[in-house]
Amino acid sequence: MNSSRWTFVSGILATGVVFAGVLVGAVAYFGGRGVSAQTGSGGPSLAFVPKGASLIGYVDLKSVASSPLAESWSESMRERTPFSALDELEESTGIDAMNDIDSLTLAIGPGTGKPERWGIAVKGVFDRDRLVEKLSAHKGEVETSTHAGTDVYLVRGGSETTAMAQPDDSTVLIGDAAYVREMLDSGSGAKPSAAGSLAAWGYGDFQGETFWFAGTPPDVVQGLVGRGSGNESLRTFAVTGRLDADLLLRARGQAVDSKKAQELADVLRGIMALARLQQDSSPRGALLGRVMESVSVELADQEIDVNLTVPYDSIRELLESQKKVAAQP
Amino acid sequence: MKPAAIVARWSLGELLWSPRTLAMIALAGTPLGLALAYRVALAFRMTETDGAGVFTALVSGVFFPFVAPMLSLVYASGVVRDDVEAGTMPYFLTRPLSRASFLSGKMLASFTMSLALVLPSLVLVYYVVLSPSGWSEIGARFPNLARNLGVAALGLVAYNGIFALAGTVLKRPLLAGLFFIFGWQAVATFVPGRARLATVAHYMSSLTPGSSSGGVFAGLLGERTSAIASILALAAIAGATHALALAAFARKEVR
Repeated sequence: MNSSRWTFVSGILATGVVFAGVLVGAVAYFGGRGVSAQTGSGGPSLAFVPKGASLIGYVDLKSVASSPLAESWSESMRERTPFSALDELEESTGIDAMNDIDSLTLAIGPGTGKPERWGIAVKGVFDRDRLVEKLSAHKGEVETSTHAGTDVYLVRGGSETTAMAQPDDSTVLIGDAAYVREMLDSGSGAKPSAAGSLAAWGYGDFQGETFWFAGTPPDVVQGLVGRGSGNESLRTFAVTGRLDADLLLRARGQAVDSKKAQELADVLRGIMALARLQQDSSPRGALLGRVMESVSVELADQEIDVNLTVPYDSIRELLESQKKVAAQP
Repeated sequence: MKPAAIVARWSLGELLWSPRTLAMIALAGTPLGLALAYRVALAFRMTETDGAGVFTALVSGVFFPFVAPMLSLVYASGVVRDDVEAGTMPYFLTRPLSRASFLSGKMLASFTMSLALVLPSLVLVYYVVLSPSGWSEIGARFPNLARNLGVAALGLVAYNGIFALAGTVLKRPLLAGLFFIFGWQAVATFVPGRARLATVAHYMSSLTPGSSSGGVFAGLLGERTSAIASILALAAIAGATHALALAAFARKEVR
């Protein structure tokens, strides 16, 4: 073989390695997405969210459960996190959050952000008889009423009352009693739903995001810019998260005008600068460093766009360090 | 076939069989050797670091700051100097071939050589370190691989232009190139102000968030450049330096 042929063979070999590597990776990636799509939740239950909700959120629990994040989530970690609430949910309703639930669509009603106007549409596979049985055995008082042909269970625990209804085999509604009834009306089509709100807020339909929250901002955000909380700076906001190769977080906000947007962007950059100074050799400081390294704040007219990447490894390290701290006497 | 393509093909054969290519294969294989060492350490339970972390460390600590610029420097800085030193340049210039075609072909060959050594090595390292984590992890991390391949190619074309220009106008392009890689780029990342904007490494690290060793300091001193601006900057550096090299070579008195 002469040198020209060797050159040709070497070229083919190098190109082949790259193409084969990319092809195999692409098959693994898109194959994984296919599996994820098959096991995905099928999108938010916006039909059950009444029109006028000030905040709408969605979590695709199927995607979370099949992500590398869930794999590293040990049982001991679950006990010390808000996820322990999911265990309590299973005890009182028989619903296994990580296996039975596909997605959660939560909504907070209009008004001043009072906590009593809230509801969650839980989508998944539920055993209606088991749910009724568990509710009947509940320690507190349980009342049953009917709204628009659907049973509504009012579970009283102390001073709080939580309503629960199952409008169809794959949906359970949980929330305050009045709001759950509104959700039932929206779901049946008797009253308009918030399906059009997302488009009106200008953030699209969040296709492909693992979780998102959108709505009008709470007072704490309004108070960031200006001299008081009465000085409104943001019209709407949206926070989205995608479980990709890393956890990709994005926060967007529509300011009332360009000046407010600039001021808010400056405040955010200031907060980030302070956060960068908080870095140290501790696991929490190292995580902060890696996250801060990826943060970008962009401004386009009245919209502020913040993007950041959180590597799974960093989350795992942080969880492990917390575990070690908790284990110390 | 166009004259530049003929020169590129011939030059590629010359570069492939030159003694320096053995050294460059060893250089490009260094991350692969480290990846294999990681696998051995993993097999003997000497480490618990996951493959994704190792891949990121190898890309940010070995490929981008060291292997890619060094390969480019060795090949691109010789596009003119090699033939001048070998005394073969006058023979090429007497051929029915424009100077632009000659240098374009040489620069294309040097870029192809560095690309052919860096990209396969990057792919092999990816599979060596990630295969123990399983098929799903290979798929989940694929966007990282694809992004790193693209950034490596963009960075290599920019380095190729810079070092080809150095090889065309300077008497000692290797020394100048080494200063650029280990002096200017290493320092500019940590200097306040806009100095880092005059490095290729800054734009490469901006395109690969989370995999830049100087990123923390860059973040403290100012924001990273956006992805689109980084791509445009690398393309501009590549275009300008290649064009300047061609212009300089057209006017250069070569002996």
